[in-house]
Amino acid sequence: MNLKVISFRISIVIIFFAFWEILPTLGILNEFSVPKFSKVIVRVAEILNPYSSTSIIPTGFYNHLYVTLFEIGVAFFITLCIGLPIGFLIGGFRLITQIYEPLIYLIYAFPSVALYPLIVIILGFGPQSKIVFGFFLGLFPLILNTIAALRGIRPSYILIARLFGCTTIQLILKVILPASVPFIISGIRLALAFNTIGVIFGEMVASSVGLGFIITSATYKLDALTEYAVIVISLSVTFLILEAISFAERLGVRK
Amino acid sequence: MKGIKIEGLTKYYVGGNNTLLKVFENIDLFIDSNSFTTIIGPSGCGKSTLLQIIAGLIKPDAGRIIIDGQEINSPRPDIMSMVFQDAGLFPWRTVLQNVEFPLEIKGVNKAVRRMSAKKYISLVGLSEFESYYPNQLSGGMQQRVNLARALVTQPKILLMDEPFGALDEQTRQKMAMELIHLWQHTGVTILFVTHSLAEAAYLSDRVIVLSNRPATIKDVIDIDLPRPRDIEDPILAKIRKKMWNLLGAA
Amino acid sequence: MKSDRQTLLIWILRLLSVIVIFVVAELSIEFKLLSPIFLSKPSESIISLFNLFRTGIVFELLYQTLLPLSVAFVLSIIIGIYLGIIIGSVKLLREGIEPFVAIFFSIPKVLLVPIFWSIFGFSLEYKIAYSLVHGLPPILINVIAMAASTEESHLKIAKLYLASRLQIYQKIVLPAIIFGLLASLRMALNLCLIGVIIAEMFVGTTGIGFALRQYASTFKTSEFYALIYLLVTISVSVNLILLGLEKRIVARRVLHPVLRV
Repeated sequence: MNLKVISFRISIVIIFFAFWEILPTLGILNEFSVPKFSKVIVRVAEILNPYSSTSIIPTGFYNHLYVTLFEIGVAFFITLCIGLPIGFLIGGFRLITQIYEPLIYLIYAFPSVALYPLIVIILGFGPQSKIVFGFFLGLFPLILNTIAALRGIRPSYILIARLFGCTTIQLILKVILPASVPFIISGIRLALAFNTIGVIFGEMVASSVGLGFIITSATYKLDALTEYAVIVISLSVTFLILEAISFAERLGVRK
Repeated sequence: MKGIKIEGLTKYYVGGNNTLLKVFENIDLFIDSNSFTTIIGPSGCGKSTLLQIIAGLIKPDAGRIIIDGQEINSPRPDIMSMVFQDAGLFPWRTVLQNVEFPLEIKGVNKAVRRMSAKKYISLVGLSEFESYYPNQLSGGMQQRVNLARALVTQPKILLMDEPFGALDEQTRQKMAMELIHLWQHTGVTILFVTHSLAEAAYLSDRVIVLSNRPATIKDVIDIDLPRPRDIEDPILAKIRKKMWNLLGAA
Repeated sequence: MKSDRQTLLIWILRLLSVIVIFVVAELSIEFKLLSPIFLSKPSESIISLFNLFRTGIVFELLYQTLLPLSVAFVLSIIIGIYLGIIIGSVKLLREGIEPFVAIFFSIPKVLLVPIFWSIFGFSLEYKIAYSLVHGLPPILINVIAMAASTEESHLKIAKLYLASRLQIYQKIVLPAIIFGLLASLRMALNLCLIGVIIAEMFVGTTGIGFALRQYASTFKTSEFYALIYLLVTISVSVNLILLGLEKRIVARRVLHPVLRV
């Protein structure tokens, strides 16, 4: 790692936070719209501290955090359970792939957020609507990536396996599955990212608990400090989750 | 009669504009058991196609392949193995696991196949690298693992389609010498396709020279020299010249 | 190579699948297999759509949404090219910024909506700014990648022929960037649309996002679906057109790895 590059990056980070601190102080940015970085960090600490938390957030921050994480987790699980099989089904048969892949592409391009209000009136304000919406958002990228993974398997592997007399089941288990794993894992990471987006957006627009909800209610109450604080926390949490998967991905790809 | 009998082999190819191209027509050939036979010919003349038909991967349009009295019309991993220019090792498996693969497919017991795999890996001189992954090996080493994998099923026949094509000159020569070693050790029948006249002369008992499309057998050169051969041997040089002339006039 | 007949067959099958879904939906709601409260018969929704057109509501909504969308899209392109060329050509900038762009691309940008509202209030600028945040990254990443790759490998060749700096830009860098641009254009447009709708759904009283929220909460399901059909039509047609353009212009010629989602 180049020292110049590292110091460049560090300086960018420093400059960013410097601006965040100085601009609101000088009044260039309205303090009510963009609170000073230092004040935001203090509020973050207050929220994360279980003792002071309830004075800011009535039901305590961690309850909301767990709800959000729970919704993301369930949505992710369902996405995997449904997305992977469908991905293999569509990707595994060239005819089906040819017919349906473009359709899935189009669905993926469509702004699925538009459907959220419908999901809310069907499933209500509770976690179900967030889970279903998060699942829906993460499903199609996973399917597309799985299809691409299957398509990307080098034909020579299949040829060689056939030459050694592989039955179809052996072919699937010993060649196709392992060969498609790297690509599929990146699809899984994408799915998780979209699950997260869906759940948080759902909470922001129509919910009574969760990280998104705290952010929205703080915003409406013009409590910019809490708003920014929870946004910072949420960004960090989601970043950590996604990095964890990337890390696992890199471990697996060492081969 | 032990060996590979190729009878009246014909293969067509449908080109653009729906024209019918003859790849080869009525090829008759007999390859002795335990021999080392090389097929050479101009680019695109159908050598690889011929090899793949023998392997049972492609069906001929006429004619048949008979090995030791049995007709071949599908892949026969029990008697044949094939080695390609692209080693095609599975990157998610170690060297050992790659060489075990054919035995795994056959359902051989774990302990037995492990032993067999180790044996052939040591035969190609890569015992230290058993737990390495293919991406950690050089091209030449990957091809050696490929060879070990091909031999682990103890096939009667080894089909090789330009296996050293992607390797540099020095490695090619080393691999050629090692191949002869392996061949003498295992007694397998080798059918070898290559572009390199030097390789053909050095390695084979017999060189089959094909003509341009539609390919016919232009000539068959028998090389009676004992092994190990010397690359510098003037007899080999003469044979190479002969092949060159045959190909030039093809 | 697919024959024309095969392609036709495939399209027919696709169309059939979609039609089947519609017919099943229509009949299930008609015969009360699916609840008519939450779902609306496709036939009724289409009638609603015509009504919305008639009363001019559609045009108003389209204007409110498509205006910030177009502005944000154009801005994404301009800023993307400008910044992209600068960042892509300077090695230090490019390597230094790389992780930040990657991070920015993968975080849930929905979390930033309240910040934009706090700064801009509910206004056109709010929608434009937030949509820009969605549409800019793919273009930026692509232009940077293009500018960078031409920088390294092709400059050597140009220097061999003693090409001037200007010639290099004109004949090598610019065409490559334009190709990178075209490849990411479709993605940027889709993302900009998502951005505007998210912004409208979060807060406000204008635009398609708002209308969808409104219709849903007042249980006007046929109007809701009408808008969805409208959105689907717009999204699908624009995407198909851009995909067609992409295939003809870009796919055959791009040799560099291009961001594809």
